[in-house]
Amino acid sequence: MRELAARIVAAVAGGTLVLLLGLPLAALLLRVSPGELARRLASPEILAALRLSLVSTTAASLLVVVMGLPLAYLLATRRFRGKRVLEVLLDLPMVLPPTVAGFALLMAFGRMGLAGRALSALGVSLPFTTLGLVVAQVFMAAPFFIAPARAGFASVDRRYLDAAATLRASEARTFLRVMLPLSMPSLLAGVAMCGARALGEFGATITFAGNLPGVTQTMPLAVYVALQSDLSTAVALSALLLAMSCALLFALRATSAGALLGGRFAAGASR
Amino acid sequence: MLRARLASRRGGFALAVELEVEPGRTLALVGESGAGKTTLLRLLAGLDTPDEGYVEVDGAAWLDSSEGVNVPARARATGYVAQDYALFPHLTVEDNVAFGLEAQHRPAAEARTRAQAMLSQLGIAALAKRRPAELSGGQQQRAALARALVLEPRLLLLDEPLSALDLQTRRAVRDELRRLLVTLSCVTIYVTHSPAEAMALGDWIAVLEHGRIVQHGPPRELASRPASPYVAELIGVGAPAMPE
Repeated sequence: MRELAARIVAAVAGGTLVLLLGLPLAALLLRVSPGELARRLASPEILAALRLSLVSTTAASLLVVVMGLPLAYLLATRRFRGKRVLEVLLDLPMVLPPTVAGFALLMAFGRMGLAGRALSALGVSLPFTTLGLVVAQVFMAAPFFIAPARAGFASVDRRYLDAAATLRASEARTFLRVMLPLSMPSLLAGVAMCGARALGEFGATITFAGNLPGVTQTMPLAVYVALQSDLSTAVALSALLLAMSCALLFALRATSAGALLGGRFAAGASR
Repeated sequence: MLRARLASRRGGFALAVELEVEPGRTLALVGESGAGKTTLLRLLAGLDTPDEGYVEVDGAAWLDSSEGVNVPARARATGYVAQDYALFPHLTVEDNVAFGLEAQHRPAAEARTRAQAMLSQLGIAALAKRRPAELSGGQQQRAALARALVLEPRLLLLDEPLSALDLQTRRAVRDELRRLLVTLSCVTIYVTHSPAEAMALGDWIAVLEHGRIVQHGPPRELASRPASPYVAELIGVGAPAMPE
């Protein structure tokens, strides 16, 4: 009897959450006919936002990977003074409200900001530029790559690193030929997470880079603007973002299948 | 020629060992698990650093704590075959064997040729394109040996190379290994918990107990004159001989 009650409570609780998550998505997709959707998506403003989102997200993800790999490696393999502080600093954007992050970026790189004056002396201006948009995305998305990359590096079996050392490989070669391939599933998962975060970035972008069509108005920003004037455009944009997010999630699933494959490698090599 | 004296203390475990092995000879180091066998190999390979001591191979100082010399693992001419082989799981057998040659910046073509030659020598040329996970235990062991030997080490360290094999293949692989070790010009240290393996493979046997060598000598002497009840029990020959 009590067990039945518990089951009912669990079913209601779980079901409510599924509804809460599923209903808005259904509402979004049922709102407009597919033909209308296609027509809306072909409009110049939407195409501009789409292009900007794709370009900036790709650029931000590439920058995060290039700058994040050495940090992730350092955190995974070394002990040093100030490591805790660095860890907190790198994790901070994950919990920081995005608008606060955008404001902090403005304080740093704005025209009167800490580094802004030096930058403008060099002729570089970040706020309200596409470059600034990419910086905001890098800021918000970096931890989503660094955390899994670090975990991936740290989980590479020590035995392989010892083997590489006795085979007279330098640290750089060991990194490229052993560490990198063995942690590839984690790295790909990190890239997908980071890309998803950059694609959906709103708060820091609008605060730091503004909302200029074709310059800093990415898809999430365009949705927000369209919502106030043209509902069906907002629906079309949202549906597109939804599809892209789903694609990323499926890609992520595929990489975790890759992680299982990596596990099989490791199991096969041990006794 | 290997000359070494190593002292190391980690937590409650202390190791203090002195070794001298002629080139071309195999020293079988036998002891129970926890005796410090792997610790000793790692110190010789440079994977860990002892508190004190020296390692000298063919006249070259790899380690001398009194002079502050400590050549890193990647600059020592050792071949190390770990207990579970540690073959790189994402590389083919051939790429595993070529790995060390490429690390020494040998041309890729030369590395291939030499890797293939080494694989043929060990009778696993047909497996060159396989991944380690597709190999049997005995084949993995040979691949790991090939990977170590292709670098022509001056000191070959074998850590329980047969323990990952099932009993049936162990004997055949052991005999094969003995034939191979006889042909090598380098010093080999063969670590095992099995007295039978030590007897079969060692030119000289050293018994390690709690981080110390309690007796050493040629196999026959150890069997006929165990110096302590521990050695007698380990070698499996009853009570120690009475002092003459």
